[in-house]
Amino acid sequence: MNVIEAIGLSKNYGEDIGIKNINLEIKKGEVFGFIGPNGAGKSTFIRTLLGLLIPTSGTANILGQSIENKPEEIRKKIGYLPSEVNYYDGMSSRELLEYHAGFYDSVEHGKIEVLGKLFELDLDRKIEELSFGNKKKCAIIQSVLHNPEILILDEPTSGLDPLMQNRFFELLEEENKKGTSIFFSSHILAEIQRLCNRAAIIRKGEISAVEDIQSLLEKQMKKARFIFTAQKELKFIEGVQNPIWTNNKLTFDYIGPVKDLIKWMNDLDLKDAVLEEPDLETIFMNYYQ
Amino acid sequence: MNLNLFKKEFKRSRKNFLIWTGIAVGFTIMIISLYPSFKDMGIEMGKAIPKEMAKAFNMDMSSWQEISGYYKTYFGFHIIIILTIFSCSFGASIISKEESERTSEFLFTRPISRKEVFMTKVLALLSIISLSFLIQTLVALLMIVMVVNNTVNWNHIFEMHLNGYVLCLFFAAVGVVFSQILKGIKNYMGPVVGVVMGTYFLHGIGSAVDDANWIAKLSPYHYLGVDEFHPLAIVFFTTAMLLLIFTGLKIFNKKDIGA
Repeated sequence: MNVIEAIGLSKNYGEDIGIKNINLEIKKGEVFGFIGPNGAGKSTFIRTLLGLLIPTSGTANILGQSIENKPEEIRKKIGYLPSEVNYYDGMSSRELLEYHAGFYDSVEHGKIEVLGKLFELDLDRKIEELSFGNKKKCAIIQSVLHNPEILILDEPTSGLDPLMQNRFFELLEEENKKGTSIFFSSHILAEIQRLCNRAAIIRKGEISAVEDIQSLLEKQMKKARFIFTAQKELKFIEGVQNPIWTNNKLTFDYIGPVKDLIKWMNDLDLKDAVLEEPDLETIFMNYYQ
Repeated sequence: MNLNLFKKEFKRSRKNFLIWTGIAVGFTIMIISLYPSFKDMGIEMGKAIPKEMAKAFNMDMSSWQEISGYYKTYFGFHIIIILTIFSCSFGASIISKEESERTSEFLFTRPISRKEVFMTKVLALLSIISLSFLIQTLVALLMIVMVVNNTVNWNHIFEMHLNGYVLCLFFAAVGVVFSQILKGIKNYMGPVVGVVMGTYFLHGIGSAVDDANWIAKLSPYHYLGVDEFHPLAIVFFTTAMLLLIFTGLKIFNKKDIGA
């Protein structure tokens, strides 16, 4: 079953394109990554899904229900963590979380204390006095407080220190085990790599690829480091990218059949060679080139 | 209506409400407590003020022997201007402040429809304005009972207050529509003062100059003034208020919500 399904979803801002013809399916229980640089359309897509923006064309279904039909009913089952946290000045985190809880039918109020302790957040401090990171902690608590079926997270870790990031990831893994589906938008690939099963890459408002993270990592791409006795003129085979010589050491990315690479290596007078799995960032940058 | 949001609106508007109501109430107390001193000065003062100016500002000093004649002079200008500016600016800000204070993303991602947000906010707006007006009215009545010894034309006072109340509701709805059609404005005080004072002065100029009487007819203050009471005007402006709110809702339902 798909928890989120976008069908040709587009949003224009006047003549500027926000997102264009997005088709996506996110399955129940999945942790789905949404990767793209700043301004690629990640937030526009999320804000359209949530009903903040009216789509120019296309539609989307969340939990089988169209976003245009009673979106408030859908939002009962969604936890949303925005990239920029803006809350009401004059309220403490506790007041904000109680106010948030007031919009839902059943929220365990004790959970506010538990999560406040987990994230080391002073719940009684006024929101305007909180640092960006602490505001983010308040937003994290708010996003999970009402036990949503889907979590939509937009750049969720900005402002969090590594310890809190780790606690946040553990919380997400726990929520996911309980059956919560997670839509995780970020430009930090290590986060996507750690959490997600699949990811979509968005570029200039369009989806350039939807890939299984594991198979993306296992693609025929390799990072290679060859060490020679001396630098020499080489005839590169097809698939060699970004070759850089540093003294007698050659580094490059390779996309293509491994047997061709090995055959080429045989013909070279190599002193040493290292072939590595590329990290997601390298693969991702490859999509952009 | 969403009670959670309604209560929040009351809490959030507390300071604004207290300031504006305080000014209107303070002014009411001051002018009525001065009545015994001004009561007999009306005719002399009337001679010193040009007839046209007196007409423009609803000043009929010859009627100051009776409290409603004195009270309408100040109610019709100062108090009504204070309360209509409050109503219009409050109407303009109650929905738009979610965007200007960047809290709209929080509110509109809760499980509440746009229509419910809009209607709850409008209900809170009308309730707070009504409360403000009610307090001013009660203080005025109490002060009149305390200060005035002779007969009071309660009917006149009731009618001018009812007119004033409908004016406030009408301008609140004008404010709501302003916030939906004027884009990129964070502070609506300029347009609000412009429309409230502008329409008031249309009424003033039209009343002062006989040849320009038609100008006064362009202003709501002409129909909901302090001298005459027309039930039809009450019905007309109440209907206009409802239509403006409906228009505001239609625009609001179709617009993108900013961060």
